[in-house]
Amino acid sequence: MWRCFPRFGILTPEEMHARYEIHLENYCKVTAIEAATLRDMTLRGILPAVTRYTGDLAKGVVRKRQAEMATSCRVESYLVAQLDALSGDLLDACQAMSRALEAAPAADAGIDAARYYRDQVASRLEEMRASSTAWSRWWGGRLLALSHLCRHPVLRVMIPDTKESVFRTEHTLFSSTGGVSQTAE
Amino acid sequence: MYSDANSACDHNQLTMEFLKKVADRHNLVCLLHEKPFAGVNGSGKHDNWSLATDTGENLLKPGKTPSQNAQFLLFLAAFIKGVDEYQDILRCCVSYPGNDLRLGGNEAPPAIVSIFLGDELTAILRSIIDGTAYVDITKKKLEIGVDTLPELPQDTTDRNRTSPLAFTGNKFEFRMLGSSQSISGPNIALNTIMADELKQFADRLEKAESFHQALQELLRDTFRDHQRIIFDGNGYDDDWVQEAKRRGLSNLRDTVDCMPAYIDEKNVALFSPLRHPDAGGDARPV
Repeated sequence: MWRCFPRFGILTPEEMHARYEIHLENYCKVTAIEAATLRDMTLRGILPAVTRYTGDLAKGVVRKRQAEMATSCRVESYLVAQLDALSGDLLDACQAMSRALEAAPAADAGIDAARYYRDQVASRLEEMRASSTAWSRWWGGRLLALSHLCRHPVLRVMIPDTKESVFRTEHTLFSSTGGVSQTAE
Repeated sequence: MYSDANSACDHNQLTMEFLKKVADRHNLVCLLHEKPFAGVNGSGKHDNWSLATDTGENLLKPGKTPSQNAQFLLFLAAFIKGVDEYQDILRCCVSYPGNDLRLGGNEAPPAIVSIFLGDELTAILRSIIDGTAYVDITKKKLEIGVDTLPELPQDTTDRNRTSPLAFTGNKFEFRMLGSSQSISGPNIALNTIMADELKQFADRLEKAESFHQALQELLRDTFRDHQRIIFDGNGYDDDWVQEAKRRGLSNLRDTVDCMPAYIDEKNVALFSPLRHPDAGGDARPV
């Protein structure tokens, strides 16, 4: 019977331990890279674009009022208030992520480090994604009718319901030419 | 169409590389990530696995009367026993951050390892466990609803897309693999587990005075003791999580929970070199 099978010299105990350690270290590093990437995309791409856009809205309000038009500027006020609240939440999430990454143990510190990355970093990734999802729902659900907004170079990638936007997200994330705002138009 | 495990691993690795290169050539990017976009279905692989003799005979081919195919039932029993005993290492070999975003979600097999057999095989197992005669009542015809077309025999294995390990005609599909991973690890695990189980079976059968009686008892004992791993229901259902817990199946939800399986004494012993009896060893880990 033994001739039917080669001996079970598949992996030595040392190789099993090596796999255990390597996979844990990989988990920590991949989670850290994804967390830092999402934070940086938010801080360098999304939030500056929102600031720029809300600035444009505010300028529009000023111009309307300078022209002494009989207008309430309700749309602009609504957009500014919503974007301000949502971007504030996103900023809070980014800062919490930065603190979690700064306090993280070394990636090769074994199962305890992996548990930290799961409980303190990966969970915040989920929070940031949830925040982005809430944003995109709000944006996609209520504002698609304002077509000019959809052409905004950054906010466009936040709308998940069209194939084109999804494609652009892909292109944006992995563009070799650089930043989020350069690729959408 | 099939190939041996080594070639299949190479082919899959080459396919992944070609996908990336061709995409790059067309100014596109091929994402092999398991879940690149939240809210859009992720991607994984089905590892179609079986065992064959050196002459190419598929040992997991049930034939027309699987209930009377002792060879098939023996290898099926070894597979069921192996998956039940080593469910943690099978779960472990498909665990990494990308796949954590799929397994357990409502788009991929759940994090609980179980086997789908289909109505016919499940009924055969039941009759072997109970010692009752198997009545073949499961051969059905598909009603297409078009009179001009002939009746088609219905595949009794069904296509339960929620099962992590499903029997599909003459092979098992291991459906928990992520899209970016090498398929070598899961195949190493499956092959080693089967080698271990078949060795145990051989030891038992070779010592038996009556081979046929020993085989019957072996099948009955194995199916009875390991039937908890068989689940033909909806793996996405929350009730399954509770039912699996009641059955004592492991539910390792992420990479961090899975990794200790690599250094579990039972699993280390499974993969470790054994002293070869032909070389005067006692088959214990070196």
